[in-house]
Amino acid sequence: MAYKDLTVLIVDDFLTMRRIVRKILRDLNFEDIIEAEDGSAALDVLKRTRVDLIVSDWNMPRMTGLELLKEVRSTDSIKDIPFLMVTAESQKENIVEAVKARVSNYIVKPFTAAILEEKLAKILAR
Amino acid sequence: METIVNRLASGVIDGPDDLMGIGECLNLLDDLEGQIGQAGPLVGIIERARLVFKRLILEESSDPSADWLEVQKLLGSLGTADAVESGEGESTQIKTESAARPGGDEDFLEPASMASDNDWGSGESALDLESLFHEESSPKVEEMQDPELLRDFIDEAKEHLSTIELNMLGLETNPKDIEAINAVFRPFHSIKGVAGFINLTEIHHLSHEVENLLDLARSGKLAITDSVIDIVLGGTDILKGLLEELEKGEGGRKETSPVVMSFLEKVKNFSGDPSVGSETPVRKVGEILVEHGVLEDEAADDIAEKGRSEGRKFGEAAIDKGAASPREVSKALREQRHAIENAASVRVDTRKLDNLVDMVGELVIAQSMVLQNPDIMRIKDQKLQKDSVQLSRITAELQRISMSMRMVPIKSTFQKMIRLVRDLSKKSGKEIVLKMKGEETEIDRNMVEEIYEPLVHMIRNSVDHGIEMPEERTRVGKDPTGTIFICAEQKGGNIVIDIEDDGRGLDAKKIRDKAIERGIISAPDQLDEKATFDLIFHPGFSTKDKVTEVSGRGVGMDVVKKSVERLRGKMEISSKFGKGSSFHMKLPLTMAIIDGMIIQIGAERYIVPTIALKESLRLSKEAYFTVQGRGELVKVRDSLMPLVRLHSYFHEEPKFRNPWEALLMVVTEGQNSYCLLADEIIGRQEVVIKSLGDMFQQLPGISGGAILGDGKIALIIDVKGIISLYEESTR
Repeated sequence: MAYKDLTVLIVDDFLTMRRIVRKILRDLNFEDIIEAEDGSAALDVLKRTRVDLIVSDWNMPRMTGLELLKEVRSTDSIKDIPFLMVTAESQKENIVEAVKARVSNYIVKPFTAAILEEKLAKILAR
Repeated sequence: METIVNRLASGVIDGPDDLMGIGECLNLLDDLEGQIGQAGPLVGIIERARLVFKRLILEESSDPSADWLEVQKLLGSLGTADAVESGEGESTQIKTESAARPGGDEDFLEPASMASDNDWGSGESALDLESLFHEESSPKVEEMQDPELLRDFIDEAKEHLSTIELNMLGLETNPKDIEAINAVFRPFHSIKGVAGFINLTEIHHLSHEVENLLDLARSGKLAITDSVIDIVLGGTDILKGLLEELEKGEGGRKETSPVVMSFLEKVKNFSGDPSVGSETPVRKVGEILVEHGVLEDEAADDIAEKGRSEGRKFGEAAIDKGAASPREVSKALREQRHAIENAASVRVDTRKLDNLVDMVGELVIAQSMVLQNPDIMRIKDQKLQKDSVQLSRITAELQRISMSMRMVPIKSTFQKMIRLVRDLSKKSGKEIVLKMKGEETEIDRNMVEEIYEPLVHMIRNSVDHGIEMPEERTRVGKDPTGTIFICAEQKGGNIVIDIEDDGRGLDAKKIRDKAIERGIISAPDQLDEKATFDLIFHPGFSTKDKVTEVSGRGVGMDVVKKSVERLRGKMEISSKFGKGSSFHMKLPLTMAIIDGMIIQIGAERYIVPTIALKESLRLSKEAYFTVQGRGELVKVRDSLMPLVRLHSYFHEEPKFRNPWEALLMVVTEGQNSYCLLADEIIGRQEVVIKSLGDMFQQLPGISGGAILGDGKIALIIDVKGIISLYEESTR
């Protein structure tokens, strides 16, 4: 399936970061991009809309990316959605936690379109 | 368990990139470990598999395909090892296999040695400026020069910075508010993230450092102190400046500006000395003195070293050496104390506290007098009764609070002695343990400081002269390890601190000889044992040149006595030659509250500290005996104890003279129990101890007075004093 046919949900509390991720996704020919500014907003979107890929920040107020991931994985209707966690170099060590919570893959900030593409290839191959 | 092993072995992972599969494996390994516990050959394999998995996850593997192979083998071997555990295979099999495993490290099957590898949290917590500046920290990020994005970033960042300031101020009042720490951490984290994308190096570095600092705080490794707050706020200001530069189109240089540079340096230096724990770092007295220009750095170090080796405070050592005047030291101490107290408290003059306590005491009395006024008591109004209960509750609480404001546990002072004994015993080659009791005893905070020095003197004395060398102790049949026992107890209106050792004890003859030699007493003087022991408190007993580790017993004891007397306290010694010595330091509590039993003796009421009472009872006539030469005795559950008629000491005409009619209270003093005889118990009450004034200070058997609810005075009985009066009279 081509990227342009996939619906991506970006979750980040920082507007500029959402813009940046959106820009990179656009560079990869994604067209259908939804944004949510925190975990609970993301869950709202997921209830209403069919999403093919979640790109979520780890560090967010109220609900963290990890909490969102756990919520997604434990909700039957959305538990199989590929989940890409965005993290910072300094927080990378925590990723094992996310792996245990069945994250699809993770990406370290700052990243390029090429790196994102590489990760997406790994995720979407399965 | 078998199913888990099977699932692991049958390959739930598609390949090293399959994080979901790895995640499932890790969970299965957790389950497996949960079932087999912490022992057995499987544990090593599980640990190893975790380590390799982690390497794969973090993409830190130097050879992912080798790691991948190893993991598969490890998971496969779980089945074999499982068989071993159930006794079906050979244990060597696993070992051989593990040795043959590709890229084998030495730490296989050794969970302990992997602990450092496993320390997942340690990662980037240390700030390393060098690597920050020299390392290509991020992969080549293509320039994301989008003016609109930059403008959005500036706006958003500024907005977040203003919330940082708000949250920081909140942290100032509540430094442990983890939510607030998170709320400050997050914006720095986000700003750093974006700055990394759009190549704002300075902003990236700066927010990265502050983020790291806050991350330490988040994980509880760093306390939010004033200096941390200063750094965060300082960083926020610099960030704002950088954002403004950006706004004007001046930012984006490649070099780091001096302002940022020096800030990063400051953060680096700060984290070099992070105060682990939650206490505010306290400046040392030496540091303050150096700052005041009293001492040079080197001199301060010397003194600190010397003080440490002698187990003394820095200030003492400095004064001794003549490096600082007592005034300078006390000024530094005051400043230090101020810094400590500054945290979340207000300094109040203790005299004000004294006044408050006195006034509250008066309030309680005045209240009782009003409420017990016969006219008031005749009023049957329910509301009045309810309100007076409420009033009593409030005043009681007020009294409790005002009392507690001045009291601190003696614990911290005692704990300093542990270190002292350890150092002294090491130096003297003696083996000594320090035991303590009653550390929770509360004592007036001024007193705590005052008793420190006498305590140090006495402990030092016990170590130097009381406890023998291990060989000598063994020779006389003692445990080679000597014991020093310190014990604090509130007795009536006093704090009694006992310092006991099981050393060689005092030699009355030697003391006497020495006192004669020094001209303190003359040869014909007849002294009893107690008076002889007291000679060691004489200022002339030990001379200056003998104040060393090999001098006779009595080093500085005059100093101890003087400081105790200054506190209006009393020193007593008891000692058995060859068995040990015991020093009793009796200090008054200028004001204290005691839990007292109010008893009636004749027409008067007295108070016995409840703490002194073992039990109170009535006995039958059969339990009373008079024994020739031993006086009156009573039998309480098979043990005979002397009967002490309290009325005879206070010259009261008792209501009951016969012990089987009166009330008996059992008290213990030393090894012996005694029965005190009184008319009856009226009640139990917390009373404020009032000093009887200088004139009646030495009244035997009485430790103070208290004002009762009806405004009348009751005397507080000093049980120990009464017992010694009794013992004297029967001797």
